[in-house]
Amino acid sequence: MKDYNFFSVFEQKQSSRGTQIAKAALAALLVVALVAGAYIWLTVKYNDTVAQTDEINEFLASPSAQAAMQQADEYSNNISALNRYKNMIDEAAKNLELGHLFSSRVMDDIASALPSGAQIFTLNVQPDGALIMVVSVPDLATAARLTDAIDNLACTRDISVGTAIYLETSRTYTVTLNAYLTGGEEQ
Amino acid sequence: MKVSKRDLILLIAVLFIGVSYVLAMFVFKPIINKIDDAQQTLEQTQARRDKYLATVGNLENLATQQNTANDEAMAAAQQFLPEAAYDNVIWFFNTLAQSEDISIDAVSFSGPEIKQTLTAGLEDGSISAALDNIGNTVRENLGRGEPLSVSEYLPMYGAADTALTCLTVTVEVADVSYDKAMGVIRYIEQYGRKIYPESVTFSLNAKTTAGRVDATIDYSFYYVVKPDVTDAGMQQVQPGANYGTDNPFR
Repeated sequence: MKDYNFFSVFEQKQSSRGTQIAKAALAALLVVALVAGAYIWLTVKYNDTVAQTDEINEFLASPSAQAAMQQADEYSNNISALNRYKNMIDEAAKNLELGHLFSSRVMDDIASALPSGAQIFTLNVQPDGALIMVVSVPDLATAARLTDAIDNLACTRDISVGTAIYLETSRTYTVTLNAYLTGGEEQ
Repeated sequence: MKVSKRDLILLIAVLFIGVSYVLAMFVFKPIINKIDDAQQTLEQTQARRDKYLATVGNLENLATQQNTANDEAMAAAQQFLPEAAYDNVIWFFNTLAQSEDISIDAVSFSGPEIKQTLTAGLEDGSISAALDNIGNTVRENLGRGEPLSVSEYLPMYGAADTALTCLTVTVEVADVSYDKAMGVIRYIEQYGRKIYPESVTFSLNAKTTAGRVDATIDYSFYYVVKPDVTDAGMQQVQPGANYGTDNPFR
């Protein structure tokens, strides 16, 4: 009959169960440690992010940073206002230029276009650019040349003749010419 | 009750899943959300800091841009006179008469009147207030004297904002040569300011020798309020030698 060591078998069973429990406990501890470690890491990360934000905010709220920002805002506002002011001025100047048609050039042009024998009695320019000339000429041929010359000037448009009256005393014709200075239609 | 090994494993698995779910939903998810929010806030704050650093780094450039904008605005405004002053206009025609060797028969005034209100359309206030600030900033930077208040000029013309103002001056010359009369017109054209002849009348002077004329010209002198008062405008009246009398009617 073969002998069996029943105690040894029991010991082996006892040892195997204890190891299993120990392994299970170790595994559980490991899981708990991992979970706790992850939680702690996340908390540290959160606190670190908040701390970074607070640090930047504190820097941005410092008097020196605020003063620099205020200075930059002031410069920007000034630049904007000055550019708008310049645009307004340029626009106003342009409108004035378009609205004013008379200059010494007009007189020079008229003087250079007068035919021989013609003499201006009066010349009147109105604010709207209307030009009225009363001119003395020796004959109707000169009156026609005068009308043609004034009509062909670059600075006049819409010319019309009011009257051409013969004066017995001076033996000349007095011609009334009406026209408009050019440029007014651009307003 | 005897629990089989299979049941035990199942039980442990269920417990593991349950605990994992509870941990994920009630422990990790909230803190991850908080981290996301904090990260977003940090990114926004960093963006503000970057913008600030860029702005501060550009401060000198902004100052230069402001000075350039000021110079350009002043150059544009230079064509306009800064203030409608009767005494200086009379002095101007006195200088003109001496320069052109001509006798001016009459100088008469009408106005000043506001021709146009120049509105800048600033969102944060009127152009006048803005110009006050700019003027004073520029003057401070350049170490100039008294503070400026553009707004002080405006009630003078009854304007609520920066205005284009016009003073009409009628100048009359009589019995002068055509060249002298044209000299008046050319002198004012070459003066380099916004002074325009509105209406002009030349007529032959019938009482004297042929070729001499009478001329009446209505001039508009245009003015704008300027943020920098360094533009002195028309030549200032020069003081005479003596002032004061015992009898102002003598």
